[in-house]
Formats: sequence, C-alpha cells, structure tokens
Amino acid sequence: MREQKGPSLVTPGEVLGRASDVKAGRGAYVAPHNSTVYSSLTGFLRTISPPADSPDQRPIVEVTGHKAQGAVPVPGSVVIGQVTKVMARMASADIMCVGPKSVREKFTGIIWQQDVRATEIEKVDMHLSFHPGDIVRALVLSLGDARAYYLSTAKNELGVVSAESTAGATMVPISWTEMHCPVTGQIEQRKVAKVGS
Amino acid sequence: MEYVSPEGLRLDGRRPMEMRQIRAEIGTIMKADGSAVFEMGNTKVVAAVYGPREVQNRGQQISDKALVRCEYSMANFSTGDRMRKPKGDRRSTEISLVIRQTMEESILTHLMPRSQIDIYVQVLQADGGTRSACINAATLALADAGIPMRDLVTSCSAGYLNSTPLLDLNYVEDSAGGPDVTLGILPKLDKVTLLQMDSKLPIDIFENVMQLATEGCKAVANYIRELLLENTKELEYRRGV
Amino acid sequence: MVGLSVGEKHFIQGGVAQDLRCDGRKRLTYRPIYLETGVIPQANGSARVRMGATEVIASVKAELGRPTPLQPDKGKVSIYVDCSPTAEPAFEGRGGDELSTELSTALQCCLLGGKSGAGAGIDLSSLIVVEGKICWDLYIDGLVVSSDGNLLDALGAAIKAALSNTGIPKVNVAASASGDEQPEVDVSDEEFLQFDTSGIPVIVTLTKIGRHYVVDATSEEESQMSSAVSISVNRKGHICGLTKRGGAGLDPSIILDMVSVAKHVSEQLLEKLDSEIAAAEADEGES
Repeated sequence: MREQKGPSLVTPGEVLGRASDVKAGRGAYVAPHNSTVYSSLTGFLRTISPPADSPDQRPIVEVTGHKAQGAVPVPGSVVIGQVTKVMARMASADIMCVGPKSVREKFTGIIWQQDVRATEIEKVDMHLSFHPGDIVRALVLSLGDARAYYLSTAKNELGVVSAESTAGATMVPISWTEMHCPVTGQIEQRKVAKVGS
Repeated sequence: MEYVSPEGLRLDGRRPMEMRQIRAEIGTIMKADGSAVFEMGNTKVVAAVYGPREVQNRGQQISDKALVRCEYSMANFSTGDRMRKPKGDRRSTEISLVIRQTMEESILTHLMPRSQIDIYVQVLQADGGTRSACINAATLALADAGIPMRDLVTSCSAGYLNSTPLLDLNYVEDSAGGPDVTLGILPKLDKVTLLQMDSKLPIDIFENVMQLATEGCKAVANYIRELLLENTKELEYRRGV
Repeated sequence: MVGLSVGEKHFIQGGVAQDLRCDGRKRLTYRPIYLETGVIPQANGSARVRMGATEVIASVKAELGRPTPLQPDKGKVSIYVDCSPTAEPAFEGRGGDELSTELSTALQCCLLGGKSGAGAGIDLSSLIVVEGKICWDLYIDGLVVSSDGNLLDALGAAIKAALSNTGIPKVNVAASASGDEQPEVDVSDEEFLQFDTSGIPVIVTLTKIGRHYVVDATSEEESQMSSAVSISVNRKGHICGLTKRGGAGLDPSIILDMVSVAKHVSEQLLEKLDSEIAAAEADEGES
C-alpha cells in the first residue's frame, strides 16, 4: 500500500470528498443523506491508495488526531492481567495491558474452566491453576457479556507469568503445572506459561 | 429604557450586528481527556471531557452506542448576587439536559459502544449567553479529547429590542424582557441542532433574528476552527514533525 | 484510573527516602506557582493560582450586614469551597460535598481563629462600619477547577492573593443616627480601600510518606501517604492553625518536628507568594 502524505490539517465537519470517489477510513465518516465523506477528528489528512488486488479501488482518506486513545482489548489480542477472584468454575482478572500498551482504565476479564487449558478441560481445578494476585497472559476470545471480556489461557505460552508464594516471595516455574518458592522450598500448583523461545 | 441609541450603538458600545470579543484556550485541565476555556465578552466558562471510558453504572450501559452525560454548574461568584446553591437547581438541570442533547447529536456514538462520555461545564462568570458559551466550550473540549464528531457545534444568541435585531445579548439586554433566541448549528453541514426562544416575535422578524444568530454561529465556528488548527500545528511542532 | 502498581508504589516511596521525587523535585520544594489576580471582575477581589496541574480560583465579595450581638466591633467572614466536577468526575452531583466541607472547615480553622474571633489571621475589626449596627460581611468562595494534590495550600495561597486584590468600597455614614435606627449609608463606587493582608497566614501541608515528609504532594504521592499535617504560619512565624488528616498515628515529637519544618518552608513560600502577587497586581494595573 503506497502512502501519500498530505500535510493538510482538517477539523471535524470538513468535506474530504464524495463517497463515490473516496472511502472513509479512521477519523472520517460518510453522511448518508448526501453521500459525502466528512472528517470527524482534528488532525492531519492522509490519503492511502488501496492494495492493488482489492475490488474497491477508491483511495482511503484517514485523519490522525494527536491524542492517543487508550488501548482497548480486541478479540484475538494477547493481554496481561492480574487475577482478582478464583471460583469453582471461573477466575476473573483485571486486564492491565493490551499487547505492549498499558490501558488507561482497567477492564474486567473472565477465564472459564473450559478455557484454562487445551486438554482434559472438564477436569480442571481452578484453585490449582490460578491464585488471586497472579499475573497471567491470556488471549481475548470475545467481547463476552456486559460485565467482562472472555479470556483463554489454553496455549503453551499463555497462563501464569509471575506469582507470589504464600511466604511472599516471587516463585520460579518448574514445569507447566508447578512453581517453586525459593524461600520456603514449597511447590505450588499453577497453569504456568511457557516463556522463552 | 433605551437599549439602542439613535446613532445605533448599544449599551456597551457595540453595533447591533456585532458580537462580543471571543477568546478561547484548549487543554487547560491536564487531568481531563479534553478541556477548554471559552469567553464571550465577560461570560467565562470552562468545560472538561472525560471519556470514552467504561460505564460506571452498569444499568445505564447501551450496547451499541456511547452514553453521553453532562453536568452544568455555576460558581458561587459567577453572578452579581452570590448564589447559594451552585448545582442541582432546576435551571442547571435544564441546561445540562440541553447541552447533552445538543452534543449527543454531533458525537458519532456508534463508534464507542458500551462506553461513557462525561462533559462537565463550569461557569466562572455569567454575563448573558451562558448557554451558548457552554456549548462552544464543550465542542472545543470534545475536539481536544479526540472524540469523533459529525461537525463542530457552535452556538450564539440573538434578540430584538427597540425594533432592532441584536446579536449576542449580554445580561442587561437579556433581562430587558425582549425575545431571546439561542441557536446551535452544525456549521459545515448547515443543520440546526438547538433552537430556543422565549417571549414572542412576529414570524418575519423571527426569520431575521434567526438569520443573524446563524451568522454569529458561523463566525464562532471560524474562530474555533482556526484555534484547533493552530493548536494542532503547535503540538506537531513540539513533537518535532 | 488504573491505580498504582506495586512497583510504582515502591518507586515513589524509595524516591522520597532518597530526597528525589517523581518529577525531579526535592522533598521540600514546591512546584512552580503561577498566580493571576483580578480574574473575576464582578467580585471585589479574586485570584487564580496554579501549582503544577492543580488549579484553584478564589473570589471575595463584600456585602453590608449587621454584626453579631456577641461581637459588635467585628465584621464577619465566611469561607466556602466548591469542588468542580471538571477536576474529577467523582465530584459530580453531590460527590464533591465531602471534600468541599473538609477543605472549607480546614481553611476556616487556619484563617479565622477561634469562636470569639480572637487570633484571626484576617483582622475583623477593620471590617466594621458603624459599631453594633453595620459591618462588612466578606464571602470568600474557593473553586477547585483542576486537582492534582495539595489543594489546601493552593486554596490558602489563592485566598491570600484574592484578599490583597480586594477593594472594600468606602462608606459614608449619615451622621444623624440614634438608638436602634439603621443609619443611612452611602456606598461609594469610586473609592476603594485596600485590605491589609500582611497578617494573613499561608498554609503549608506536610505529607508523610514512609519516614519522611514532603511538601506539595501530587495526587499520586498523596495516595501513598500515611498522614498529612497542614500548618498555617504567618509572617511573624506564628502558628495560626493546624489540621491533621489521615489515619496513622504520629509520635508527638514528629509533629513538633513537622511544625518547625513547616515554619522554615513557609518563609520561602511567603516570599514567593508576595513577589508573585506584586507582579500580578502590576500586570493587572497595566492591562
């Protein structure tokens, strides 16, 4: 996709073109009553040529504002969260980071029993997989219900990344189900994420 | 009482078609997502926008649109006589509703489902035209917060005293008992989103007064656009673009 | 608001212990203070103070009233603070009432002295017009526009600046008044008397984080505090009022230590405020 940087500044409501000539990208919208594309943000106007193989050959107009919007979890993105509650069939976690960006305001996520791991999903004991306060890496399955996103840790690289033992020390992972406390020597059970290559 | 002298000058020395001095500033409150101060003559209003953020009251969440909320409050010292109760009285509730409905029309709420946008407007000094100043300040604050809008919403008031249409009434002219038209428009789309009037006017004179108010709104829109462009250029310059 | 993580909390506490705060200041340094007077032309006096991201506006309105029978030779002052929802979404509706009451009470305690009117930072006897019958009522209103910690100090500074900007109209009393009659007064529109503000104290809030105290805490730092003591000190070095906030208990020797630190810091703050007020009044006079 070739980019042509147009250095013009636009404000909300300015006409960017006719809907038959240009397609509205981010920061622009199409007014249905007169098929015109208007800007919806204040920022720089950019025109992007569409990829050569797409059926719609109209250039895309985009307006980029200067305010960075906080990150929002999208289905398919990997998030980092902290477990708040563990119950018999689910665990809830506060989502703190989406990908590499931290969020402006925390979101709530739920990990259901059947999404904890890929094998033997009915035999999962939630209390042997997570504890409140653990930091987990999870995948967003869907927007979920009105209260929380649905998350999954059913992959090797997903699961508990960091946890504190009952003695208060940071534990070291030993296998995909166990973590070891360096201070007391105790072994605690978690669904551990495989970190590294 | 004479509001327009025979030479055509108003009580504060303006001509009938002249607006008061406008001054605005963006980004005054650092904690808010967007904020602005807007002055029309002696009327001074500060607006802050928080959002889009998660809905605080689950019961009010809308699944396909953003929830827009607004609160209007006047400072104790904003009017000539000191006010006892800065918020919660009927006038404040009515104006909060008016501002919310006007801004909601322009915000592209379908882009931010299940979230909430809070607009807080605080009047620091009231000298007529507070409703219009609040809407203009809210528009600037929303634009500063990067919330997608159909168009800027600008507002201005106009009246009719001593057989002359007057633009942008101040407090003295407003309390004269003549008609007071408050108009809010989307300037580029040429649509009216707010129209309020009290007292009575013959229809043909009403058309004149509304036309005058529309021109006032367009003048405010030009000022706001200039300010937004200048602000963005300044920010880009500081970022080293 | 996501809140502070454990790492961030340790960072703040560790930094304070090493005399280095998150924005690079030392423990006893104030943020840059910007002051403007005369921002509300309709009031008798007004000022706007900005300390970092905290912004407050104070205004003074004077009205004629009757003095209370208990103190016929003194005027009346009332202080009221309002927290605007622009500062914090939580202040919407009645959410800010608790904080407003707390700030108003703390300011009254620091500036107005005891019930008998003795020991007030503001000289109330200068507000009397006709003893026993007519006095000036001063209504001091504070508005918190933007909040990033240390609201009490900012409000104290704003009130001091607003009072030095206040002009009380000159009153001519008709001579022939006797007994219980209300004398006629003629309030002048042109002549104003400047209020004497040299005795007005300034408020210094010391926030205890870990084992050290910092001055002018931001709201992040305030969330980590164990307790805070606000002390109002006037130019002569006298303590005019003291308030303690926060649940943690403090050893009495620590409180005495905080008081002496506050006295020391207040000298610099008073100097800075006086120079800022003089500059602001000069600007206002020119414009």
